[in-house]
Amino acid sequence: MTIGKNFIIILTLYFLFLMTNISYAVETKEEFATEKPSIKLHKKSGQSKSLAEDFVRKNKKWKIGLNSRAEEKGGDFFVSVGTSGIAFDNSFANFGDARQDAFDIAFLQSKKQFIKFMGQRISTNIVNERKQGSYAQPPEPGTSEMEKLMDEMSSFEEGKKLRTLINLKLDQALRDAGYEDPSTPEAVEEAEKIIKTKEFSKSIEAAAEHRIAGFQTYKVFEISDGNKGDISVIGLWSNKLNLLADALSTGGDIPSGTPKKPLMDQIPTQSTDEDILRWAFSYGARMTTDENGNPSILSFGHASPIFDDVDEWTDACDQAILQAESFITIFANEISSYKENLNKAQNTKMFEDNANLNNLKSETKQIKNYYKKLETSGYIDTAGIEFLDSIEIQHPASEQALECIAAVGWNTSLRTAGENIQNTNEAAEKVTLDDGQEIDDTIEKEEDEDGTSYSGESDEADDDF
Amino acid sequence: MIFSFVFFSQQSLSLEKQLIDEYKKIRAEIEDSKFAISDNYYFLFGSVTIEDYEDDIEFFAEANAYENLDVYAFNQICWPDYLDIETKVKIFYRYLEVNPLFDFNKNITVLKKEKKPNDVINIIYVFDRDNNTINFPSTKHLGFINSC
Repeated sequence: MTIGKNFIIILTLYFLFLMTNISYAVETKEEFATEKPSIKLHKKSGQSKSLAEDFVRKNKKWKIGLNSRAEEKGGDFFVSVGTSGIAFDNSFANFGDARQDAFDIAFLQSKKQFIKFMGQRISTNIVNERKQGSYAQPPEPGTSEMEKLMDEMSSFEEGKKLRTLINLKLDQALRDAGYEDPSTPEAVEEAEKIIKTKEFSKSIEAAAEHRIAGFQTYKVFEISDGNKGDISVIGLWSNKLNLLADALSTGGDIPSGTPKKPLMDQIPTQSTDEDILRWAFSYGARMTTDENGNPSILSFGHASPIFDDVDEWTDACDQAILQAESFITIFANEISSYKENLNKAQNTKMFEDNANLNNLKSETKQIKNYYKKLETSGYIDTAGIEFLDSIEIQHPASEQALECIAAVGWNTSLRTAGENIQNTNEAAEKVTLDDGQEIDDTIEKEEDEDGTSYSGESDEADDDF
Repeated sequence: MIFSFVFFSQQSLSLEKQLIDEYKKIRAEIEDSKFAISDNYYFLFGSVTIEDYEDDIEFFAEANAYENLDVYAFNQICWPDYLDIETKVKIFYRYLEVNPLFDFNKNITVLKKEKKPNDVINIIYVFDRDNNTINFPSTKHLGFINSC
């Protein structure tokens, strides 16, 4: 009996202990459950970036970075995405400027990404070439072979010239490190290490920046909740675009298979809602060709009137045209400056001294200064820019967000025509018109307006790149 | 093409109607005189040539707007013919040293910024007359008889 009683007591105690343990375990598990880290998708900012990246990956089935493509279809191409917020103060009077500034920053970001991708590609190619022994016997500095190589270099295609110059710098670095013969397996191994150093990477990125001619906007995405918005730019670079840039700056032949349409037909019409939206999200300058096959640039400028009034609209459209014209000058000068540096370069110092973009902060003032310098650099004559069309829109962000968007075009044949017109104008008698009667066009809207969230995207650039 | 509209309430971000109306009245005048007064506002006009954007463009344009204001004030005075321009300027600025056009300006804001093709940026500034008073010197203040 005593044994039985004791057994019952032990069993009861064991049961109680078990119960306590179970309930403790449950509590502990719950405690862990609450502490479990959770990651939520932040959907408030940079939504245009997601739209742009989705478009690249899902719609186009491309990768961000280097995309392989068969040579006969145009060869490899790079895709990058840059994003910036639209910063505007408590007045929609500067809304157009704020959007343009955001585009400039986003475009700079996408250019920087391209430089990074291109730099990586150059490094990989150099390392592979050395490993495969295709850069096995570089000429000695100061010899006739080296002189011959330098003479031949002007006929190299851009990529090869850049790799050769970087290889020569790498040879010197190897010699400094005690590797007299840069073609030995040990030297190749050391070269791989040197190329990854911070200092050498800078040289490679400076060189990569000099391949940027031809890099341009493929598509723009913009989204806003009516208060805060952002813009994302999909940038694209291909050998074909680079060749078109070459034709633009040197007047050489355009790459075959480039579409030829009059510039007027390449800008949106004003007859459909869809086309009006294309206007709203068209920014900056991009390369194309006209119906005669002349390398050309199309450019869009945005400006806001301070209020809805005929005179203010006129001023805003003048500003938009001026802005669009300056983008052509900047775009053409940027291409030409890089091309000129590449032609002149006998070593990588030229690239290092003239690299700008990577050091440029994503800040409006710095970008404007950079553009200002390019605008006045005079690398290329962009006389004869043609006004194509302009449109006055009420931006979906707000009834107060008014914008005039102007499209202008330029092609290499207009260079001479423009010079002739300039001369004629200088000689012509100036005609002054009387000021027209002011048309009173007061805003009738009440004080409180509804803000509107919006999202939109630009037209895609030609797929023939 | 994606495009979506979602409406939500938001405070008015537009320019005040009164300011718009008054600006319209002086719009033609300000280009010539570089200064204008309406019922409730002072409008100043400043220009700056862009060397680079590192400099504070608005600051330099504002400084130019005050110079233009001085010129406007100078031209409002009926100067005696016997004074040469140097003497007039000396008298004028000596007077302004003791009696400045205004002691301080409150809430001066940029109304319009316009870039011209020759790298000149014109900025129109506005400030209200409730909080600011410009004390234009009169011919009498300078001790001359108004013979104009």
